[in-house]
Amino acid sequence: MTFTIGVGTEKGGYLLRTNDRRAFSVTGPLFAGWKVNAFGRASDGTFLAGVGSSWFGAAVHRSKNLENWEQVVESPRWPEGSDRKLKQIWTFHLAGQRLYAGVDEAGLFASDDYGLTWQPVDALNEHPSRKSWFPGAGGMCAHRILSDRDRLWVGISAVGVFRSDDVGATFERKDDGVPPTVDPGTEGVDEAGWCVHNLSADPANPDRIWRQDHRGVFRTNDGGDRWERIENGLPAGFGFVMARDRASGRLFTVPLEADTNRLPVAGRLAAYQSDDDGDSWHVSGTGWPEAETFTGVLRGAVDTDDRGGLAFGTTAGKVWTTFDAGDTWSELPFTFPRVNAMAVLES
Amino acid sequence: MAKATVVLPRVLEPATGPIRRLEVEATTLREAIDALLSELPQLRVHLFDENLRLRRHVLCFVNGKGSSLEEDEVITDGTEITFLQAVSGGSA
Repeated sequence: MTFTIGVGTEKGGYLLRTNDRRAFSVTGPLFAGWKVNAFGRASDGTFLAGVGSSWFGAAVHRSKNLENWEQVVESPRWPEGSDRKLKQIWTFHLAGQRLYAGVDEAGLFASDDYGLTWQPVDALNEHPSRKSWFPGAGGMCAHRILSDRDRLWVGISAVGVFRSDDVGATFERKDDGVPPTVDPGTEGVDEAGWCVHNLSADPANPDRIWRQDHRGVFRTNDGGDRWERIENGLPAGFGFVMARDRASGRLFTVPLEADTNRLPVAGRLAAYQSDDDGDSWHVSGTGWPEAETFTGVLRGAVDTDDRGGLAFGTTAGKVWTTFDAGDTWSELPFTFPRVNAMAVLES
Repeated sequence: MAKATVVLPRVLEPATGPIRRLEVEATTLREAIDALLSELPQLRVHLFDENLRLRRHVLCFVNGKGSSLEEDEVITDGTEITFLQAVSGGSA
């Protein structure tokens, strides 16, 4: 079957396809000139894209075939008169039949009709702590959503991780064990200021979640009630990637020199891999550039097919893939604009 | 009713498809915008913000004269309403 990767960039979306998992073709740009920050898929197979513009705002687009796209009229949107701005669609997550979208300015929206209409999840969007939320360098976006039956986890940059145990009716922040990014004593620091960068869960044990945070790499074994630091073997704790391949159980991150530089330490671009659930890390496989490579990987720019296939895109527009769960890595020959999002759409 | 033409910038093609010019029938500017959004409702989020004001970096010209669309006005046959992306910001 054709393996298709959606590449969302600062200037449009692109589709990478391969039949032999070696030679790729590229089509695009989709949404020429617009930022693409997210791809997703509804339960009926409809493809989704989060498309935005600094001038014209953001909206959800849908497609049945990845070729013809139509903008959703009733995309996620703050109510009329709101002082919040909907700047970008950051992520999609499918939980059963229900779709969720995380957006900037931070908020969560849900759709029960395959992405045609979206309703705000007020329990998070109007959380009592919201008055203390403030944006970081990357804005203030709800960028990661995890789910397990009645439970939801939502990661919001510069704010923290929120968990719902009742399908989104209530949310509680879950950051114990992770240091905040603002100085203790700062007003509101007890309610916000935890800059989560990425989350990945173990489907076989959803209480186990790995977290790439502004302040380092962490793991929880109890659904977020308590986090522990796990950085043994990493050259830096900073980064934006946290991905887990279900088939191999391997974890992947791309360490970056924190946080003023945000580039690979000494220019040694490589994914790091853990084979023991985060207890230790090492350079993942082979194939990494010999020459210094000063480029980063953003939070949405990684995805896995959960069968040993993994792809990430860099801020320099290059795409790296592995189809053996990290044993060997290849850099694709194409150069894209800054990569914001990667998604395995067909495999 | 007057027949007016709305002109859209090419950058909006992901929202509108290949439609760059649209004929609308209206008596006033506000009615013309309502007619535009009735025909192409997906444009509302791109032209107007959460306060229903023209987005900060979106320009509108009525027969070549800038308009914030805050004031309504009578339009006549041949009126041209042009939306443009402002040359603003330094983003790549």
